[in-house]
Amino acid sequence: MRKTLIAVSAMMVLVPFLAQAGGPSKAVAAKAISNAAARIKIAEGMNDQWLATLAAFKAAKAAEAKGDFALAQSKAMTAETLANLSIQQATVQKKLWVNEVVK
Amino acid sequence: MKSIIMALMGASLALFGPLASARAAAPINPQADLKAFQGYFLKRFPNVPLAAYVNGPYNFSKSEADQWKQIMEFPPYQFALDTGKSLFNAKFPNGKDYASCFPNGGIGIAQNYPMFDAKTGRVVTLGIAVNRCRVANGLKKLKLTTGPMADILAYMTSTSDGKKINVVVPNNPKALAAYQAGKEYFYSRRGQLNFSCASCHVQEAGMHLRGNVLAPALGMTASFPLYRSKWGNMGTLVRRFIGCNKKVHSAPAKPDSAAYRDLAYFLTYMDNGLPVSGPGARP
Amino acid sequence: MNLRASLFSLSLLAGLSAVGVSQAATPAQIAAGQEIAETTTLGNCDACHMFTGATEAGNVGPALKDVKSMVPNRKEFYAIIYDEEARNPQTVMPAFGKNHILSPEQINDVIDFMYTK
Repeated sequence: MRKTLIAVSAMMVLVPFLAQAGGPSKAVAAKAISNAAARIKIAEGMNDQWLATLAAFKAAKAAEAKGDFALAQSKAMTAETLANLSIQQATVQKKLWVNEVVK
Repeated sequence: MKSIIMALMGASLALFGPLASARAAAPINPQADLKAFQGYFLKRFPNVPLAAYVNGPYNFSKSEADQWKQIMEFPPYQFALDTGKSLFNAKFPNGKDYASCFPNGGIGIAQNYPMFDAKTGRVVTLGIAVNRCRVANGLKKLKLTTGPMADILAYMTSTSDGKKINVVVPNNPKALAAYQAGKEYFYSRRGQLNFSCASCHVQEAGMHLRGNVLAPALGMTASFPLYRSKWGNMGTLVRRFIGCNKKVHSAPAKPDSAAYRDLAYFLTYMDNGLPVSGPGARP
Repeated sequence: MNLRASLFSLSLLAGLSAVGVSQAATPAQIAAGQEIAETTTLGNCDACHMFTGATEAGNVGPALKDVKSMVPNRKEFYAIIYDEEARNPQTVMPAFGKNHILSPEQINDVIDFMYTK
């Protein structure tokens, strides 16, 4: 989980530089979308999916369908970032929720 | 730049994770929870007697309470109640009816729901029980949020008017686990806005969110289904769960999901001893 | 904890420098801030906070009056809007920056607007 987070964070820094060379291909966009889909599935399993995550993912799929792979990739990355944030939230809440219980 | 911020935030959280306080494995004790929960509100709002919590926001806003009194001269749920009674009493194509599916013919039993079903190991809300009855008699399930289901529940609930809510959590590992899952759902922050149910309905109960009073969690389930002016029609408890989830920018669960069943189980158990007062009316 | 705190402030600095915070806010920035503060899908500040000019404001959070003396330090103000939970775990204030509800520019616009209150 932590390794993945760091890897994802590193990717988020690197990818924009890589993408500047000629724009992302169909395969790159598809990969970004499948990465996002995997994180979205995990967030759903943790009962913590954000509406903004689903909206960004929907926009990514729509852009992909139109052939706008740059937009598809960037929306998919937004969806993945948001899904990761909700996964982090759900993960810390597994421990922290007890602090909110009335005593 | 945004990516860098996010990367830093991601890394910092990842590092911080192991330092967060570990959860102590406390035994699951619904009775003790109930005592603490009701005690918390009674102590915090000493002028509101226990049974009055079924009136939700009206204990905290004179203007809303005055409007309510006016509205109740012609209760906005009356039409739903009448429709619900007809629907409830209508025979199914196979000659049977809803009454055949429930103890006491479905009359005066709403206070016992949600109920743990030992056979399936799951929590069954009254709405889900109505749908089970339909399926057992060859009919399609009804939508759990509004429409005919809300009407039927309005009628069934009205026949329990004033009876004390009496949800049972049997000493069965699956029942206790469902109760605990509902409790965890209630207290866990979620959504992009990072609110738990308790953030608004425990911590900030009685305060104003815009012009609306945040109703205390205690007593909340007692008036469902209810007519909400904002909706312009009837809605069930699960409809309200969906609305609350969306408000905190969280994707709602499915109406018949384990998450919502367990949440309803926990929340209604906390209302044990309060009088059923549904159907209700809210702003 | 120290590491987290320092990373946190680093990211805050990044947020501040990203938009090149200037001393005096322009009327356009203040107007943008007001719109963000009063839009339910953005800042939605008035849902919880009373401030002059807000209609049907809530009282979940403190009233925002004479904000310059409430939060004189702009960086601290930014941190409150960015992720108040990091400073106060009990807060119900959403983490507008951390959770990508508002961009750094939008947070700065809101600060500019609130400093007129």
